[in-house]
Amino acid sequence: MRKQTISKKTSGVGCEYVGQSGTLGRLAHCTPIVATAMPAPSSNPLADLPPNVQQEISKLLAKLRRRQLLNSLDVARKTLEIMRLLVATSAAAQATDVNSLIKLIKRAGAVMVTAQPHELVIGNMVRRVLAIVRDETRDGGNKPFKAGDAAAASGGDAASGGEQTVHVAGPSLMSLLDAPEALDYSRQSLKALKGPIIEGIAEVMEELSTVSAHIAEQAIQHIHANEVVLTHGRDPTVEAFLKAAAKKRNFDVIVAETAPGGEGQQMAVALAEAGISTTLIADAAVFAVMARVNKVIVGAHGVMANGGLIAAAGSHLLALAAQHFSVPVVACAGLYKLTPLFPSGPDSFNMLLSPQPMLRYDEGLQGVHVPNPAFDYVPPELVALLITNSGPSHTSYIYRLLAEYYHPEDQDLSEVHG
Amino acid sequence: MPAVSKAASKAAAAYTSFLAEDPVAGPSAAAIKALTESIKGSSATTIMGLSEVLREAGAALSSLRDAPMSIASLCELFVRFITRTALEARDFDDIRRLLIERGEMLARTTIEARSKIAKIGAPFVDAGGVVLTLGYSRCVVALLLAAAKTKHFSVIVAESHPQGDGHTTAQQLAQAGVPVTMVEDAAVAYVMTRCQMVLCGAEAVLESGGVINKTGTYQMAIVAHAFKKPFYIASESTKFARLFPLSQNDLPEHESAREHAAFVGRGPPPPPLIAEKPSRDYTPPNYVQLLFTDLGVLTPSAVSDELIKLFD
Amino acid sequence: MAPKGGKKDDDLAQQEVLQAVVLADSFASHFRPMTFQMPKVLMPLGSVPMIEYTLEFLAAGGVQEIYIFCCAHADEVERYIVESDMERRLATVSLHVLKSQGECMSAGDALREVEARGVIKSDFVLVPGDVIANLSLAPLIAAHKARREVDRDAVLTTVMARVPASHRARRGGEEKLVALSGETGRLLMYDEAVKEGWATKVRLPMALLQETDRFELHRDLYDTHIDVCTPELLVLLQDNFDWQDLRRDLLPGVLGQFEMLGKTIYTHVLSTEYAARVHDPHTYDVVSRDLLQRWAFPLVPDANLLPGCSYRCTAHCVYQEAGVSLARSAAIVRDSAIGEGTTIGERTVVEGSVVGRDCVVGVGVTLSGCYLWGGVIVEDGATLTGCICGEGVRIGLLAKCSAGTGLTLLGPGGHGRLWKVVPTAASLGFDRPVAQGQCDDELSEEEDEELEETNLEDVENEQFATAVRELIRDALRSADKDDAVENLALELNGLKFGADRTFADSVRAIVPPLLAEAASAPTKKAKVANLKRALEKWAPLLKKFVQSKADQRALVEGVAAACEQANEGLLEVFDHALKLLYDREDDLLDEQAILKWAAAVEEEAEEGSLEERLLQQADGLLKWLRESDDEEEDDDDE
Repeated sequence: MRKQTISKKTSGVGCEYVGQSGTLGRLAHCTPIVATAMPAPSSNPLADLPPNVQQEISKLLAKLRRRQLLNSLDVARKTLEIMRLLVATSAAAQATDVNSLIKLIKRAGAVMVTAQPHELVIGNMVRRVLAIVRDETRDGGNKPFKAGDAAAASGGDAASGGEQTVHVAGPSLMSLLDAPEALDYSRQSLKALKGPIIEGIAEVMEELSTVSAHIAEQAIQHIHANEVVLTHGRDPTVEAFLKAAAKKRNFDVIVAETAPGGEGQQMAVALAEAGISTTLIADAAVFAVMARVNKVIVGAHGVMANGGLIAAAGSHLLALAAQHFSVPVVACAGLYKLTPLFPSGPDSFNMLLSPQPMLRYDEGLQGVHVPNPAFDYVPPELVALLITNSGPSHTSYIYRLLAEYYHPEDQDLSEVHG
Repeated sequence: MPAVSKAASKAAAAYTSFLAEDPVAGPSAAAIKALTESIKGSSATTIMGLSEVLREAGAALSSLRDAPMSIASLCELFVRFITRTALEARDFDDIRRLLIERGEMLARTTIEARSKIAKIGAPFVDAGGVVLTLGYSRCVVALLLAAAKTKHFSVIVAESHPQGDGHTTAQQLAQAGVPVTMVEDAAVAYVMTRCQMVLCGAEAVLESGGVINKTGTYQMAIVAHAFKKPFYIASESTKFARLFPLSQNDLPEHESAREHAAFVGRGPPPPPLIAEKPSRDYTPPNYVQLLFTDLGVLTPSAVSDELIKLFD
Repeated sequence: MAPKGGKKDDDLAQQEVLQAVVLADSFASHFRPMTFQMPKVLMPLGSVPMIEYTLEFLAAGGVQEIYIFCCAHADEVERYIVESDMERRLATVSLHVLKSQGECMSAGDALREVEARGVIKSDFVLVPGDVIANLSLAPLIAAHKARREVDRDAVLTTVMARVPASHRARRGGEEKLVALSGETGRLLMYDEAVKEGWATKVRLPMALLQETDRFELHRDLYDTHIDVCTPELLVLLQDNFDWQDLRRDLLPGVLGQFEMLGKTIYTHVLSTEYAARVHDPHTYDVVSRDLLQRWAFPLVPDANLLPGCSYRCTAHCVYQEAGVSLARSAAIVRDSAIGEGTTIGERTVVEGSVVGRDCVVGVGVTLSGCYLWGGVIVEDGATLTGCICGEGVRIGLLAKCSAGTGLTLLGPGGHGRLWKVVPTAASLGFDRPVAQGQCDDELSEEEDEELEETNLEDVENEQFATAVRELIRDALRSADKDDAVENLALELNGLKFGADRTFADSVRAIVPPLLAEAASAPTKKAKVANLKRALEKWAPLLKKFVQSKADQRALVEGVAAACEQANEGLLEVFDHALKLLYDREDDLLDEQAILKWAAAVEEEAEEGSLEERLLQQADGLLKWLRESDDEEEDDDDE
């Protein structure tokens, strides 16, 4: 045993190192100046949820974090499965009334959305489920409006007390002078509503599985014979769209390569294998070929509440070039990509990828910043038509679709009332 | 007949006193309170009577100098409400009571509306950005103050000569520590490249989704459009009006009492010179990106939807 | 037979489970004094403990069971893993913490203990707990398995990244020379020594050269310390219990004894994926920057691995959590992260720094390449460059702290453990740990001179030398036995490991006692004869310890020290000693080493000192060496 003193300063406590064979000094005792620097692990934000739901959420978030699940449709489906599991096992979390279920769903949604803010479909599906819950409560439970209001709500149809033809959600001019909404969710029992809610979720999942087919079957209405279509990136919806049209029509497709990810190249190969006459161009050549293009067809990662698109990087350039030549830009996106959020500020909902495809690490440039954004924002005025699984619509019509599927109280998932 | 005009003048007096009492709440809230007062004080016994009372009070308020345009839409709202409640309320007293109750509630919620708007609109201000605004709007100032709590940005205010409402905005923002630059109205195009967004209030929001606001707003919107800067409007939903102007000539008549800015210190305009001093202009909806209202963030097309739902 | 069948399936299923071993102790001392109080793997890198990145990388690669082997601060590591709910967050792995039960001093010991526990069933991934990587393990493991089918003797696949020596990630002066087989990627040579200039020759064993047709020599490979190992490797480690360090002992051992052991090692070279290890402050800085610049995507600060983190990425790789108070004129220039609750004052410039949570940075401060872990207070006007500040450190007014400067500069009122990073080629890490007293014991500009410090290194050296001397004295008494040399070598080796000394140190300590006896002879001739006899007997021993050029230098220094110690008795035979060593057939001593020593002495030694006189003594020898050198060169020219 050897003892060594590091500092012979007399005041204060010295530190002694007691080494057993003198190799690694092990601290015998040394009152530290400060607490150890280990970060305090935060508490589990999912603690209220049933444990199997927690596990599923952790698995989904882990997959998303590791970029192992990239298809939005799969993410949406997984989110709905988690929601269904949550509703089915809500009893395990002591949720017996609708309000506590809503709180649980919002909590789960808020955690998932905070962990993956750019994966918009998660928030969309959670809000869909919440809207289903509220609708079922409204229809199945006590009538929320007073008798007179119900009549007014059905907009003069005089169908009082029956089904509601207009989904009137949240504040509107009409309700400005009304008493505050009398629906108290905490007094609605969950038991009878569980079944209808789960059925509602199953309907949405059913809708998800037919999205691609419904969009593809509209293809022949929009692509005509001998047209030249320009696209980029590799969106499965657009791919299905073009392939469906190719079955009945002859047309040419020009694909921009979408460097540095190279998704455009993969798309070109896929289309060529399907027998479509395809041309692959560099992104820089888009303006040069645009004069010969009849339409531009792009996919979207998300459709924002103002009708703007979050789409693959390079889409804004494509849309501006198209605008210059008065070429219509058509976006194909399922309704599950519709988000009630507005793009605020630059780079909202964007994700920066690794610089690796553009600059290899061993090329090591000091002081050179290499951003590699995954997405682009396309303003709504540049998009001529939005093709969804429920048909074509204009970007200025988005607010209508939003009102149909989402409830304004669910806009902010972290805000919980009552 | 004298009773009617007396009620009307009482309404006008009430409005003025409410406005003086609580200038922060703004003319809309004062107008709502005045209209509620006129219902309280009326001796009408039928629904038609009530509607008449409201219409006359509204007309009286609108004829006041510098009365906001929202008064007309407020009256419409009240009248609509009467019609609707008439269908299910039991008797007249019930309707009257209900109307008074709801009127008072509306006055309260109008003040809350401003903080709702501020909360909705604050995320749209970019950190480190520059916001351009015109004149003075309580909603706009509330929005900018809410944003200033969490991010750093600066503001350029166009003065809105000759009333100089811009000075009020500048003062209130500067007190909160926001760096403010004051420019003349003619310099709006000059500073536009520096700005990230343009934010204005509205005196009335129209069925087309366009807005009526102080003169100079349309100009600012056109310049913003030319420079591809987003143009936002912040306004309460009580200002939604059922108008559909197709050009500047279709605006309701309004003679401003102010002095003609071009003739300050020069005496009256000598003939054959014609002097026009429009107090308001109309900004068409294609120049407006979004409206921040207490009903949420709306696109111009959504506004018309709201109005249709109400007035259908 | 259902149960039996089921058992078989279970066995098969068990074989499919991919396991990994994480060594949560680096067995090194680069991060002292921080690692006196906390385990290195819990040190924050971009505000997240390093082990989180390693475990996330393994989980993402499809590993199903991770065994975390802890030695120092084992309880803290275990507590962290349990309290932070790591298993739930990783979602696809099961974590097992193994705490060292014996005395564990190196990675080799650690793996021996892991083997003893019997948890490893098949090929496994071995990483230290401070690796940040985004490479996908699946193709790596598939390739490893495929190779095992073909070559049964493959025990290890290491992963290296192609990073040229001039890259900022590589410290100048630290070169690795790696030889790979062109076709199979088999590792043929791995030379890790710190070189002070370029060697003119490289020694390659013939046996290895014969194994391949195409031979690649690499200077640009960077060792990521990610290995895919086989259970045979663990057996090898059990057998060769003196193999301590995985790179200094295991690799040269397996490669050097290829003829005997017959085991092969393969290398996987990364080209587009990122992998790096944080093993000293320089790499801490480099890897932090890489992390902030998103090279390790999807491991980025805004992935918010820890619950409750809310980092968002803004322009120029600046990450900010919610709840940060930035003054209007404060500038966060690039490649930085600011944690929640931090306040940054006016006119402060932050560049390339990670500021943790709840820090208070004053007015007019410049932070460049600094790492402030939580709760740090930096007062107005301070300038910090290249510093790591632990929790709760307070940097006083107008302090200037930067790499390589003296220790005065905490400023009035400043306190904390001050620890400098010296990023030069020669010295790795820091020289003297400065441990100050308690909070009230502030270091200000006047007081530093009073600190008496003992150089830890010198004390240890002294004790080692004494121990060696005693050992040799004992051995010399019983020097007649046949295997005396072997025995002594073994014992000295043990002592060397125990005291964590290098070969050079050992040589310096061994030579004086060996030659001391010769000094007692009366005449010069007798002395020379004694020397000759001693060297004849003990040269094989020396050969075991002289492995590199540095060791040869040490040999010369040892002889010089021997002359010094024996009351200058050996002074007159100094040159004979050198010549005897030089003349030996087994190339124990090269002329380069002698000449270099001479050059160094010429430059540094003072007038009239012992070294001067030794130099004079050896003058003849040196002249002869230099002339023969010239002759050789002339011959080459012709």
